[in-house]
Amino acid sequence: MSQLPSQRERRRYVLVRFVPEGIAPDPREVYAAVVEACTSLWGDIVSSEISPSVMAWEGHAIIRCRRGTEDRLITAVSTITRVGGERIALRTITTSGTLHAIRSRMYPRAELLWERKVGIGGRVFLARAYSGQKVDLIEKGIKGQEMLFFADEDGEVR
Amino acid sequence: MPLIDGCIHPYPEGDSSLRRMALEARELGFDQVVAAGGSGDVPGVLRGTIITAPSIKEVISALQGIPRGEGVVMVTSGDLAFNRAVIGLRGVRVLRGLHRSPKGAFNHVAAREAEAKGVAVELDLSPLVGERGIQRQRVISRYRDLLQLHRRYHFAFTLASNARSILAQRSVRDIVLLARIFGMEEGEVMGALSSLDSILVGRSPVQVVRG
Repeated sequence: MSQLPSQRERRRYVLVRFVPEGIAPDPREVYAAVVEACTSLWGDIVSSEISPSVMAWEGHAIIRCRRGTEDRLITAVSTITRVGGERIALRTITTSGTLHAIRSRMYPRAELLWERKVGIGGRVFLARAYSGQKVDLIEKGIKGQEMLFFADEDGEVR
Repeated sequence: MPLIDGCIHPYPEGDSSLRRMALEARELGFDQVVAAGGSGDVPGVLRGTIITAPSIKEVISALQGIPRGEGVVMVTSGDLAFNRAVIGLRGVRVLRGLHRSPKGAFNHVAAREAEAKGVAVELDLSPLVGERGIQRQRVISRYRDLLQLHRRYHFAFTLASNARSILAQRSVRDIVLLARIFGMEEGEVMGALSSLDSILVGRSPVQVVRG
């Protein structure tokens, strides 16, 4: 594995975006999910080679890994379906060798256009419309929250 | 060639509407999706019908209820005899769920027939994402066997997220990497993602070759 003159190993940074919009998981829970996904898919030996670490904020996470292991990391990240019990998807946006380059690729959160209550099938949801024709429906119940995902042209949310 | 997600399951079966899933698929790099269910006429969506039946008789009667040439007809696989019979049926485009069928349910004979009849085999990516441990290992092993047959007998593959939510949809890049787990090369993945287009057009009995 190539090393810098300072004997520090070369790293790669993977930028991922959280879906759905507005979700902000605890970085420690994101780290736990990434490590679990890596270990489950690649085993302990390869996971130790990947050596992931996570920084998360503003709807994004930056996951650091050893250079040459980024494809394995991205494969493992694509198998994450939950973070801290919440259903979530992590969409890989880009990979870079420097934090500076990767920060420039972060884009602001989708703009919240409107918010109102909507009834579907006898249930009441809080509908949040975002830019890009997306409408997320949230039903808060005793057992946590359930989400539905619609588009603004769908009859149910018009 | 358009890149097509081989099967999605929109609302009410899943939690995301057909329009939203089509939007998400476009953002993730797909040109089209095959939707089993959902309502409305949405650009970039091919209609799919899944037939799951215990006997070939029931598959035939279900096929009779589908107008010819309407959408993508997918049949859930069974044992070897069932699968070979299904491949021979007119109108069937895709054999799905082979990772759940008994071992030996798709052998070299079925592979040859699938190639000859233009029936594709679906590789469902959802167990690679959602399963862990021995269940996922079995699926990887089964897909590796199918890939060997595919390389030898050249029948078509389709790759399907079988997503019931936008949270389960994956990008083309993710799918390339996920398919690498069982040894599929990038070119083969792209071929599988675009195979439905040529399967739906069908094979012309006369091939025009330009000199």
